[in-house]
Amino acid sequence: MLVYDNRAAVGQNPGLHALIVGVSNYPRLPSFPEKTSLSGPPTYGMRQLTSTALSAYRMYEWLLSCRELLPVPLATIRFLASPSGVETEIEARLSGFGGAATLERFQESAIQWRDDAAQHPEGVTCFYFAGHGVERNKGDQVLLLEGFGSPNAAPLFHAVDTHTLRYGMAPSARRPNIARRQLYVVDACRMLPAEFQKIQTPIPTAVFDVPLPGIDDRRAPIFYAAVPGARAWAVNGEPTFFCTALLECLNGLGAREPDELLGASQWHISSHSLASALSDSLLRQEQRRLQMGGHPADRLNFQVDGAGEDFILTNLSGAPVVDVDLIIDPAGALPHARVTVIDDETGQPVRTFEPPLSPHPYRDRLQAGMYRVRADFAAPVAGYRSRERAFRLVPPRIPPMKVRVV
Amino acid sequence: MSKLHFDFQFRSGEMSNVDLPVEVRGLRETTTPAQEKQRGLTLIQRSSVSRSVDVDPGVYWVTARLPSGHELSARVAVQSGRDVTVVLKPDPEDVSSNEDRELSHFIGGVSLSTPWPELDAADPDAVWGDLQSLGGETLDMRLRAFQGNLIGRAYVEQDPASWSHTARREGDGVTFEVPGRDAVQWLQLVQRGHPPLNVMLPAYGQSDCQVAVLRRESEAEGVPITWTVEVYPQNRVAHALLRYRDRGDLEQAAAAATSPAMDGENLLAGKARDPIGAVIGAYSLLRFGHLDRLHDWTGNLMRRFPELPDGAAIQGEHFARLGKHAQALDAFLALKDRGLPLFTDGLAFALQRLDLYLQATTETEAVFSPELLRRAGALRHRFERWSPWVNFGGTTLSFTGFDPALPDAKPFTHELGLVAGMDLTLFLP
Repeated sequence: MLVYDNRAAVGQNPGLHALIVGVSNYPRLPSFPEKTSLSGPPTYGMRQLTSTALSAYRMYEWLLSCRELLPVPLATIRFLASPSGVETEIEARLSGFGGAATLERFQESAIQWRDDAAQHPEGVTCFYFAGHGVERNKGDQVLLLEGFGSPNAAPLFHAVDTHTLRYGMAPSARRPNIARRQLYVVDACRMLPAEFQKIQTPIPTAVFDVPLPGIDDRRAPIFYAAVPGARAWAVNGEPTFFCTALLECLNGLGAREPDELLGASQWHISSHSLASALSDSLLRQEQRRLQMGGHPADRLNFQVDGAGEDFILTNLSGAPVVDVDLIIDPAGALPHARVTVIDDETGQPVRTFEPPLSPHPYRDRLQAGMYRVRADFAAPVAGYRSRERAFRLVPPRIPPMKVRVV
Repeated sequence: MSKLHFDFQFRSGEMSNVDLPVEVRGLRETTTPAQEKQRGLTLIQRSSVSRSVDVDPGVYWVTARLPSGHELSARVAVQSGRDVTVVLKPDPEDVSSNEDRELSHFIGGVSLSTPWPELDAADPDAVWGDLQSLGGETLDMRLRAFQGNLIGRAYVEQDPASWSHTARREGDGVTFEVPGRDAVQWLQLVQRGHPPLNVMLPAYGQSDCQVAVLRRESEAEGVPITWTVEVYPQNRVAHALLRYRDRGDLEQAAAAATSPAMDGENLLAGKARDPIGAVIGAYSLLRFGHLDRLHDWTGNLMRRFPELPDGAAIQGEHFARLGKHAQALDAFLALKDRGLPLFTDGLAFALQRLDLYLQATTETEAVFSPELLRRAGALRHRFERWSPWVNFGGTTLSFTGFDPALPDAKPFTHELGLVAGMDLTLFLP
């Protein structure tokens, strides 16, 4: 269902068209702590969720919040969600927002989304799904919609697959002007149910027709929240771990400096920088998952398929601010070392610390960029020497600014 | 204009000579969101260590991000008409303690990712509970070698002893060399309690590879030690490229894919051909959408190496991207006679395209004859024997099962002494 419509203002110009879907409420599945039923239609051990509709809503909020920074104007957002009671208590605006994430509504929204995307090759599309997922064969991905588990339908009738979705968005004779920059994010498990290996592989419903593609010159990465055969994870009543990591990257952890080769004249997040940052951000989420009792073998991981050439996802309002530790090695030099942090772009000192640097390590917050750190000794001190070192402070990996003075 | 040259200074010549990507940043006019102009740091060039770049006088920051995640950086001032060589070397804190291991320290092995999910993913208490082993841990394993076409069931088990003369202990594992042949080769790692792991080897024709069999300590308490396999293509840049992709570092992977060392035409020309380097480069160019760089050498790759499955998968996907679907299907169908691809990219491309072509529409019926579609359906059906057991999370194709023609996830429960193959524990202390 269309929840944001700026098409009149965008007119014939390229725009960004988003389809966001979150399914937590699966009425045919048991909820916690109910046991899964061994009789009735197969549900592959799944239960209702309490995090994925909220994740979809957070993605919607992010897109709205950065609409002035997107590479093309935000034109449309279509939003479908089947939230749980837990989520509507946390986020009341989710209640009745958009439409329920049923098969019919998904198909209707996807067809309209594709029609809008087909208007301009310089356009951008964004697809986000959070909910239950399975694989039929390792490597593919099926998205389960609200009606999944219905006793009156084939096992994957209330489901669609990402290959059909992505191939159906390819340039073709019927849609030669379809947007060439397409971002897909699938925040779901990729387990292969054991039942699928015993029966003829069930077939999901085709989300739309797929004409044979023409020259496929899209940049169309799919970010999967799990590697094939693995699970994605979430905490009750919170956005999923992957969604949290994704938003952290989109809000600055995936930041890159202006880039002449990419045509980026400001700090920005690109499809490739997002992938590079996600590894680090998910690692932090993994530490949290482990602290909550998660099993080490179920490590959070992700996969990018069909990366294509790099493209700008969003610009940033400036260089992000990063946390960095300032360290003098060895600590015995601290009483004698005067420490200066210099912005290497301007050559101007931004911090000066008379000895001793305290506390040590010194935790600072600096704008991302290039810096030099100088440790000076006003008078000669046996065993120590003045030293200067350069550092590039660009997320996601911020190394400590460690200067060795021996 | 002046030239910036680059020089890696590692302890080992082997690592210093790997042609990895470098980035050059300089001060340029940038735009704030309020459309104000200001000077700021801007990425202006991507290159590789072997390629110099032209720059105007000014101050530049040069960085190289290694597959391990280590970053080397240097700041350099360039004067008009004077060329500068930028030395990039690791910080003293990051230097590998062992020169011999520098390559694996800064590049690492190619991931096969969680090869034994069944045991690891299970509750460790269910496996060991409060039990303690009163004897030493078992390190037994066997390594079997195969070559041929799995899909066509035309394969044989080899004597892996031919590999053992190069075997040497390295850290907690054993490494050995596998020479390329004009046939697909794979190894099988067998250990009790785990599904045997089959790993396709990136060795073909004149391209050799290195295999490392390593001890893997589980992070979960009580889960016994297992063995895992890493493979290293002979072409170091190709190896680094796979590692960048494993780590999700797409910026560096995309840059490495366009390095001169990965130029497919060069890799396939002359006497010292490197088909595996060309295959890794071609998959990456397809993944990063650089179709213009593939020119027509994917055709050479397919024709010149008639037993190499990946040549067919690459040619098929290249045609498909160009909208030439009849030729694409023709190339994919050649996999029946060539076998399973060495890389998961190849199998993934084939599966996705066959699925697309088998969707019955008036368009597919107009492009493909009923006979072609029948053959496509038959090949798709054959792939289903392996695809559930393939680890699509890794770059090199691997799958589980003692009988490689009938894969499954059954743990091996028999006596290892009954299994032919190489016992690598003999190389351990």
